[in-house]
Amino acid sequence: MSEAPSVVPGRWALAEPRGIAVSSGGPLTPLHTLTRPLLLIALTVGCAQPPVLELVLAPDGEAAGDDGQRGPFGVARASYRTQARVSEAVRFEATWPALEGGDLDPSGAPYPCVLSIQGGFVDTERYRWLAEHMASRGYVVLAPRHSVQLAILEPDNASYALDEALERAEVDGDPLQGALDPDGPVAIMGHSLGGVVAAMGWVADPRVHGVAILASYAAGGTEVEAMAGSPSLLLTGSQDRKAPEEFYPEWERFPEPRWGGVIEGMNHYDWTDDATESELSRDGASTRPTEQSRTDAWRVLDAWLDASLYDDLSAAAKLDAGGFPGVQGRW
Amino acid sequence: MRALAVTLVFFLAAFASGPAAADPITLRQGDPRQSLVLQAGWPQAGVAWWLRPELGLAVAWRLPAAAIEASLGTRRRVALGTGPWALDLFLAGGLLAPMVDPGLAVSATPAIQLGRRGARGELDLGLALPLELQVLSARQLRAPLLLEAGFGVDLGPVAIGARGGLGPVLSAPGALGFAVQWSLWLRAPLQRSRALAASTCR
Repeated sequence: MSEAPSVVPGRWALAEPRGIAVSSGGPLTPLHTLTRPLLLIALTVGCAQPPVLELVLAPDGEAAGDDGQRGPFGVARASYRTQARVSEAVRFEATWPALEGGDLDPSGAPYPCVLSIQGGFVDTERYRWLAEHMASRGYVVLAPRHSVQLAILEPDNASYALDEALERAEVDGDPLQGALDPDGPVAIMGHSLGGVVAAMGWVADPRVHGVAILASYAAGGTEVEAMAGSPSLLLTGSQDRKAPEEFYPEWERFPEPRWGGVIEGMNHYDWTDDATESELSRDGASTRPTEQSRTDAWRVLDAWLDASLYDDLSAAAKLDAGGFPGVQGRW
Repeated sequence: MRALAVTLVFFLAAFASGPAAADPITLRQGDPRQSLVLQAGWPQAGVAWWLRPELGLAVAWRLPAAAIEASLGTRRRVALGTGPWALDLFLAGGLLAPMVDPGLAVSATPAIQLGRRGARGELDLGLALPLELQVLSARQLRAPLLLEAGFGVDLGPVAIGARGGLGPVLSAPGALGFAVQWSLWLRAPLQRSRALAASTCR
């Protein structure tokens, strides 16, 4: 369990730091002599820099979350760290449905969880627009970071983030207390290289119920064919550097239930904020405003998430009917 | 004063920017002399004392604040060595403390390194297996296999250099991953510090 989140004075309720018991009984041995300084330093420094909570969207009771628009919940986020692979630490950002003050909105808790995987060399912050939209519609989103922003180097960071968030959901006073159910539904979503890693996570982690792959595909060695019965959604843009005619053969590897769609006029980096000149120079040219393409993408993503994680029958009916504006789909 | 200097060197190494595992790569510097080696890079920083040509003591810090490790290491020349080329075996072992979720792990790092030492510097290529087994608060194994390369340049009594490594990481529980690490290092001879080293060891 990592350090307790800190607070912005006057705005947030204090989270209780977690107590750590160190036994002092028994005679000193050489092992004690060596381990005590290490543990002391670990405890002192490991707890020194707690993350800060941030309210990013106020609740909007009039927002219905329909038609690709935001939902009624407020949105707050905080950064966490968790231990991984013995000596490594995985940082991740948690974004959740919040009340006016940033506390978890208990009205819909526990919420389904979405694991969001960053694209190659694209900072996780550039996907906050995705996390904020989903949280406003009643999802807890966990976005793990990866060394040198290459998720393929550490493909199980999302599972470590999920472990930590599930532990936090049981801790009194933690912002995520009650947010997640250990047996609750989980989806994994990734863009570009993050999509490749999301497919790996979907296959490897039995807690993951479905996968959404944005502007990407599954690697050849990832046995997606074995995932029959687990829902998948693949979306790409018509202006993506990977042409739509290459997209559908990749999509056909996925078993039922599956949905796939091509967003009209969208390019590869329309899925990220703040694309650089260098990125855009290697991408196709968008033929529609990014906000319009994203709204069209949200109609499909929202329906897929609601159908897959909330078992929403009307959302499932929308998906099966197809006919989303601005999207050429196969269902 | 010497204690203060030792403390300062320790904290310089500890807080220098740099995460690989808390792997004592400072105990894989092939120059067989008593020396002090400082190293900072991604993803770790560290310091090593080669108290004797065949005995080193190191502290490594995996960033950002992920783990700290104290190790003892030894090296043995197994082939060549009369000319510029040498084949060295290294073995380091120690204790490692994960810092986010405090615990305790044991580490062992066997490595083999082919090096060439010239009048103005050195080059080396090697394989290392920095194993970590967590035994307290959780049971985990991290086992990277790193292909490493490095070079150094002599600048009078000191030498500076760079070192990089990459390779697959097997972890249990966990998925197969991949490690990339690099570091810059500085090595200084320790002839005047024998007494200090001896007192530190006591």
